[in-house]
Amino acid sequence: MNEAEFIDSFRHDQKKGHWWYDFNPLCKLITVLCLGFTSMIVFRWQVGLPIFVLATLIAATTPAFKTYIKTIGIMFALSCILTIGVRLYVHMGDPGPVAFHIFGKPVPVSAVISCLDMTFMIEGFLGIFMAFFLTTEMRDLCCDLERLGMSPTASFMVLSTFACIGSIKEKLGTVRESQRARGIETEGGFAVKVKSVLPVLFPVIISSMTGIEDKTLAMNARAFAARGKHTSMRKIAPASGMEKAVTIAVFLLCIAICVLGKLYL
Amino acid sequence: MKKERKMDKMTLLLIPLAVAINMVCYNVIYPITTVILGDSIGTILVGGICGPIPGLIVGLLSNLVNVVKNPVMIVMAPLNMAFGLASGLLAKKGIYKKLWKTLLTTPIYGFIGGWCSGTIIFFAMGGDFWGNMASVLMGIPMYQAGVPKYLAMAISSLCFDCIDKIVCLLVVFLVIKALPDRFLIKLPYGKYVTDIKIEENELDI
Repeated sequence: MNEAEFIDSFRHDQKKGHWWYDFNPLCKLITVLCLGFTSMIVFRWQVGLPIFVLATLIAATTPAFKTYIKTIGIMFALSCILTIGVRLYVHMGDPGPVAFHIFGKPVPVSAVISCLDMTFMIEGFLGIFMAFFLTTEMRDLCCDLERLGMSPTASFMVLSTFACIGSIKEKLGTVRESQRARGIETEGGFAVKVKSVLPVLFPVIISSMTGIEDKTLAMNARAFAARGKHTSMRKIAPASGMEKAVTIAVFLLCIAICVLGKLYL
Repeated sequence: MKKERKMDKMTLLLIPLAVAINMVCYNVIYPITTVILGDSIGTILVGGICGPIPGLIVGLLSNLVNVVKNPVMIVMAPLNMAFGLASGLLAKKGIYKKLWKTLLTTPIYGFIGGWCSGTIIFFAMGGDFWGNMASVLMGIPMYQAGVPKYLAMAISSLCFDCIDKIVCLLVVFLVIKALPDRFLIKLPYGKYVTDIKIEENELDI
């Protein structure tokens, strides 16, 4: 993209040429919330698995698929494997039909189903939210929410939070290097690392906090609190009739799944 | 009126910073200790120096930001919000003026972060154990010793969370003591965390 195209891109609604990326952010959020919480409320693998498959199919059509698979894999390894191990261990020897034996002890079918329910509840919930967060820019979501009446101050807080995280991480790296240059060991065994925590964390926290005062003055100088209509550089297309219809359909479908799932599964 | 607005703006800027502090503290402390999370330091700090509502917002935003990485964290949002709220309410009683007073409040935060989180996880995960450190090291042995499953889970979470919160409160206390009084006094709850008395007209804002 050359300079002229970049400048010109702000004259129209922001589009990326992909149906899921260009889906109205708020409609997308509502859809994702409905599906994610359906997986959590019903808590059965028969519901979690289709939601997870749907999320994976959506992610597969986007360029963010690699990151999606990586995150899902990490989360599976971190939370699901250990929890499955814990559950199988706790329920070993419980009465009921036996699925298989571990170290000579019977593992009941109910324990295996409980593990499946839990795994696909997490993967369904996680998958659909990852498909949202990896393809939606927060500034677009805030812009859309602002159009519906959210305060610009709230938008500022959300967006500056993401900016703050980047800058404080950068500062952490600088402070770590500085302390190392002063002779404080930051690498090594457990005791060395524990001792280095406070000398690294404190300067980061204190300097970031005291720097707030200067930022406040800068914001005053740029008329942050001035009254008047707020404008935005980026324009987001309002939700189309089709997008609204899809969102409402998903919402109604999720209510039906929750009711039927709780009654029959 | 003008002074009030300025203070509000400082709080407004401290909120995103506190969320970032939560994330950085977690990234620095947790990989080393594996028991101490440190992800509520910013929430408790802002609750203490800016008041319960900013603390509550920090708690909510922290979990919303974490949702980007781990969506399951959304169910824990009420707890992080409760930390900020409790910190603000306790700050009014002057608990951040003395270290012993600060550390005495550990069970309150431990109850919110341990017992309540244990309860949420227990019910959100289908009324069974979750594969965390507290369950593996303490909950399951207690359950096998005859303690009911819910109690075993809640007590183990409470004990592990108290260890985390005592460190968080210590860091918050030290940060408050390290911040200059002329900075603290400009914040809404600054007067409750410092002994210095400054007249309103002395504040050069």
